[in-house]
Parts: sequence; structure tokens; C-alpha cells
Amino acid sequence: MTDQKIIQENGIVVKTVPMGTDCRKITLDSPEAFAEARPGQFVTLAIAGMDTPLLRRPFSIHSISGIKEGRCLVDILFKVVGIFTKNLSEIKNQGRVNILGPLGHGFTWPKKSRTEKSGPVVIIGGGIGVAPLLFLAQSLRQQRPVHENSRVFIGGRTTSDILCADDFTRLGYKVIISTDDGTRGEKGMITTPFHARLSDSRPETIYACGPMPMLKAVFETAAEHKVPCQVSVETVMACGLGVCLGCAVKTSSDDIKFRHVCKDGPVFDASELWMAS
Amino acid sequence: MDNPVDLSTQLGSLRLKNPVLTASGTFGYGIEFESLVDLNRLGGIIVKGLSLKPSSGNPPPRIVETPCGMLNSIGLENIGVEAFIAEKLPILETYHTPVFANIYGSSIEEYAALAARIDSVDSITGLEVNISCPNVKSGGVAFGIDAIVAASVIRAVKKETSKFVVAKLSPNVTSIADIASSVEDAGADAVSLINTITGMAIDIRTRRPVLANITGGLSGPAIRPVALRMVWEAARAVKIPVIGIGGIVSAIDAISFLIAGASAVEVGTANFLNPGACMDIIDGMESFFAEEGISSTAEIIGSVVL
Ligand SMILES: Cc1cc2nc3c(=O)[nH]c(=O)nc-3n(C[C@H](O)[C@H](O)[C@H](O)COP(=O)(O)OP(=O)(O)OC[C@H]3O[C@@H](n4cnc5c(N)ncnc54)[C@H](O)[C@@H]3O)c2cc1C
Ligand SMILES: Cc1cc2nc3c(=O)[nH]c(=O)nc-3n(C[C@H](O)[C@H](O)[C@H](O)COP(=O)(O)O)c2cc1C
Ligand code: FES
Repeated sequence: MTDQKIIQENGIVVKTVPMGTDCRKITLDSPEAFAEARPGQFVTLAIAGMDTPLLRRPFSIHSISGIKEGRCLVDILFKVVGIFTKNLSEIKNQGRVNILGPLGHGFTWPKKSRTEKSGPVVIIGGGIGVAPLLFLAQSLRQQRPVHENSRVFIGGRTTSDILCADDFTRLGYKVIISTDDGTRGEKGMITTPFHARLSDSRPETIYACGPMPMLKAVFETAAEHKVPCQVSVETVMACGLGVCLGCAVKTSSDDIKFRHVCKDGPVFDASELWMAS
Repeated sequence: MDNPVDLSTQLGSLRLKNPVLTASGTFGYGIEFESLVDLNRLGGIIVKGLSLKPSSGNPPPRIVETPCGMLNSIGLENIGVEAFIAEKLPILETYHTPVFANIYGSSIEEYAALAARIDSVDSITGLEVNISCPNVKSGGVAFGIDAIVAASVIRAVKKETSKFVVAKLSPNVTSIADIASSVEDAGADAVSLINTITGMAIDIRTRRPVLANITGGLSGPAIRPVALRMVWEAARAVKIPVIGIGGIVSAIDAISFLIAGASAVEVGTANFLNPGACMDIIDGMESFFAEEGISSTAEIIGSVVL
């Protein structure tokens, strides 16, 4: 991994867009260093001048939507679930948000030349879990053309939970949607169509982000088909810098009991966390 | 500032460039902050608590935010003293900031062994002895809650090292003054306080404690008034210098601890909220000293008007 500098600065909100019923995309005018961020990496935010809640909150980088004159536009896609996200959703343009990052270890893919033929990939997101996946899809697309069998699976409870489907389509991915209530796409959990289509064409890698039970189910299927699977996981965090050791997750190995989501993750090779049953 | 204020402070035999140190467990091994903080500007760096062998810590969840603070039950996860000396210290040595090794053991013998090991390392300025952890031999009761046991830990450490020894006190006691006097008699060169206050949080839907360890240590602004009171009590009870810790997030907080009698302060949870917290605190102290015409830290230490 290249040497990446972590920086902290006040970013300026330059755009806010409501998404679905309870989600929002904000664009932060940030220092240029964020242009070095890789998909799957995250930032922690604090609202300048607001000390409740106390701890900074982690958010994946949704996209780097512009780089100019020593500045960089960082998009964050978030869902309002509590105090911080509510406060963040109420920030107006030109408001200040303290941004710290880029943090953690992101998604990886095999280095290949542009001419080398690459296999299909599968990207699967549940609910707000699509947040880091658009950046991933964009970066993969930048490296090489989207394989005709590459697929993006997006699941949610209901139609308003389905975010960014058109963005993935525009990049050239085939998008498959499911909702629990059947209001959009297939009815049921996203793991069902994912499971069903995996046998059609074996992907090179599966990338997933979403609720823990979904990630585990994706891993089981991936392991069954012997496809490498990378998952982005969440824990509560205090520092995001690898110093408080609060973000520990259990691993599947007896030698290394815990890994730290903010430093070793948030993206892990799923087999590092779980043992296939 | 054209004419920088002199913030240096005397901590027993040590002269620190300013009274702002980083609290153990909140600043890693220091080097994690290299790109965020000018490590050379710190009064001192106190590293994550070290044990003889690496330790993997408690199962998750390990942290939860509570009003104006947080509970942690990290369980003293660390890479062990040897890995610290081999891998982290060489980088820290390139800075001109004194490094203090925070140590903990599960027996008095382990504390002594750690002190002996660190005594041989030139680039470590001092030891901070965390006596808030459980004593395996007495059924897990913390060393630091009994004045006699606390003193025997410090005596054992002092026997093995000629380095500066700070006894880090637990607030979970009835009389902080008694413990402070007792470790002073045992030869401690300074006391630092407070460590975290034991607390608990419950999830009302699952009815389970939020932390896997059930209880955890409370830190952050929530504990500041308790810490300030204890620092004041300890400073009146001992002649050795006192280092104030607990919920310090701003220069105002740090200065109030100095006025209460602390010769220096440690900044903990604030590093999580704002990695640049120590820099802001040092800047804020300089401005305050300049505005108020305070020419030295000695002038303000223990200056509380009663
Ligand atoms: C690496 C990482 C990347 C993340 N990326 C995104 C993102 O791109 N977009 C997004 O919307 N969210 C993301 N999250 C989750 C986000 O950090 C939480 O939703 C946020 O911290 C909630 O803060 P709050 O004050 O609004 O809610 P709180 O008042 O703190 O909590 C409200 C509810 O949310 C739950 N909650 C709190 N923290 C988390 C968490 N870390 N994960 C899951 N549930 C939580 C609580 O249990 C509670 O039920 C990410 C988390 C991590 C660790
Ligand atoms: C996550 C975390 C880890 C800590 N680890 C240690 C430790 O290893 N050794 C120690 O003596 N104190 C440890 N502490 C206690 C702090 O050094 C400090 O005494 C306490 O947090 C109070 O200060 P604060 O309110 O400024 O954080 C830890 C505190 C936190 C929050
Ligand atoms: S959040 Fe502090 S170590 Fe990961």
C-alpha cells in the first residue's frame, strides 16, 4: 500500500441531495489529499462547533466527485439513524464539517494491464451498504471495461431503500434489485437472486457491504463456489486511527483473536472473519 | 506569536517543555498521529499500557458513547513491551519529546520485571505505573484500591529502576489522598490521576449490558469535575508533583487542573474527538498566559483561591 497521509480539516458542504426517504448525499469541499482515497476507505466526521454527540462518526467515501485547484469534492451517502446523522442532515450549504481521513484499508483487485482480459465481478449491497460500492464500481470501471457478466445486486426493505441503481447502470453494470415487500425488483432478500445467479458465471471476486447477516450469507455462498469475497464491516468506533482499540472484531483464526475495523478493515477478506460451514 | 510564552514545567527532577502530555491508551504508540500532530510540540508522550507479553484484550463490543463521555473495556490489549521497544520506539526516538512507558501487570512480580526491562532502555524517560488493573492473586481486585498493595507495587518498581516513576491512581477508591500519600511514601516520583471511573450501560431492548465485559471505564468530559476534585485533594496530600487527567478537551480545562494543583496534565479521550486537541490546548494556554501576563507555569500551579 502506498504511503497515504491522514489529514484533518474543516470541509465545506457544497451540496446536499435527499435520497430515498431517510438518506442524504452531501458533498464536502475537502483538501486535495482526499483524491488519494481508495474505494472502501472511510472518513470520520464531526460537526464544527457541536459537541453532542461526543465521538466522531465514521462514513464510507461514496465517491470523489471532483478535483480542482488543490481541493477535492468528497461525497458521503448516509442514512439518518440517530443524533449525529440527524444533525448532519440539517446542515446547510456552506456549513462546516470536520473531516478526518482517508482511513482504513479499502477494497482490492488484481493489478492488470488495460489489455489483459479480466473476469466478471459481483458487487452486492444491502440498504445504505451501497455507500462505498459506487466508488468501487467507478474505480473498477476506470481500470478496465466492465465485463458483460459483471453484476450489481442491490437489496432493501422497500423501493425507497434502493439507492444508486441508475449510477451503476450508467457505468455499464447489470443491476439486479430486490425488496422485502416486492415494491421494486424481485420480492425477498437480495441473497436469493445473488445465490441463484452465481452458478451462471463464476465471478473473479465478490464485493459486499450491508448488514452483518447479509454479509455472512454472501460469504457462505462465495465459499461454496470458491470465489474470493471481500466484505466491508461496521463497528462502533472512537478514534478511527487504530489507537483506542475499541473497534475489535473476532477473526476466524485462533492465532489472531481480533482485528481492528478502522485499521485492518473496514474491508476484510471474508474468510479472515468467518469459517465456511 | 512574536514572543512565545514559556510554558515549561518542572515535574520533580524532569523539566518538560510544556505541561501537556498524552494519556495512555488514547494516543497509541504516538506514531499513529505523525501526520496530524507535531509530536515535537508535546510535553510528553505516554504510550498505550504495556505488559510483559502481548495481550489480545476483551471481546467486543468494547466501547459505547454515554452522555458527554464513553465507556471502554478494551482489556489492555497491547503488543507487549518487547515489540514496543523493537518496532515503535525507534520511530519515537527521532522526536525530541520524552516518552513514558505505561505499564501494567497481573502480579507484583510482573510489574517489577517490566520496570527492570524498561530501565535498560535509554530513550524511555519514565514509567507510568497503572495500578487500576486486577491483581490475579487477590481474585481480580485492583492493586490501586488498597493503599498497602498500591505501595508495594510502587516499591517493587522503584527497586528495579532509577527512571522517573509515576503512579497512576484509580478513582474507584474512598480516599484518593490516602492512596496518594501511600505511593509517595513508597518512593513514587509523581502521581497521575484519574484513570477511568467504573461504569455500565444497558440496552433496554435486549436487556443486556452494551459492553461484552459488562462494565467499563468512563472517560471524557463527564468525569472532569470528579477528576478535578480528586486532583485538588491529592495535591494537598502529597509533596511530589501531581499530573491531572480526566475529561480535558480545552486549554480552559487544562488550566483549571493546574490551578487545582497539577504540575502537568494528560489529554485522553479528547484525542479521539480531535486528533489535534493537544496542539489546540498548548496554543490556548500560550494565549491565556500572554493575555493574563502569566510568566511561568509555576505561577499558576496550585494557585487556587479558597
Ligand atoms: C467504516 C464505517 C463506514 C460507515 N459508512 C457509512 C455510510 O457510508 N453511510 C451511513 O449512513 N452510515 C455509515 N456507517 C454507519 C454510521 O457510522 C452510523 O450510522 C452513525 O455512526 C450513527 O450515528 P448517529 O449519531 O446518527 O446514531 P446513534 O445515535 O449513535 O445511533 C443510532 C442507531 O444507530 C446504530 N448505530 C450507531 N453506530 C452504528 C454503526 N457504526 N453501525 C451501525 N449502526 C450503528 C445504533 O446502534 C443505534 O441503534 C459506517 C460505519 C462504519 C464503521
Ligand atoms: C480507550 C481507552 C484506553 C485506555 N487505556 C489505558 C491504558 O492502557 N493504561 C492506562 O493507564 N490508562 C488507560 N486509559 C485511561 C486514560 O489514560 C485516562 O486516564 C482516562 O481516559 C481519563 O482521561 P480522559 O477523560 O481525558 O480520557 C484508557 C482510556 C481510554 C478511553
Ligand atoms: S476506532 Fe479506535 S482503534 Fe479502531
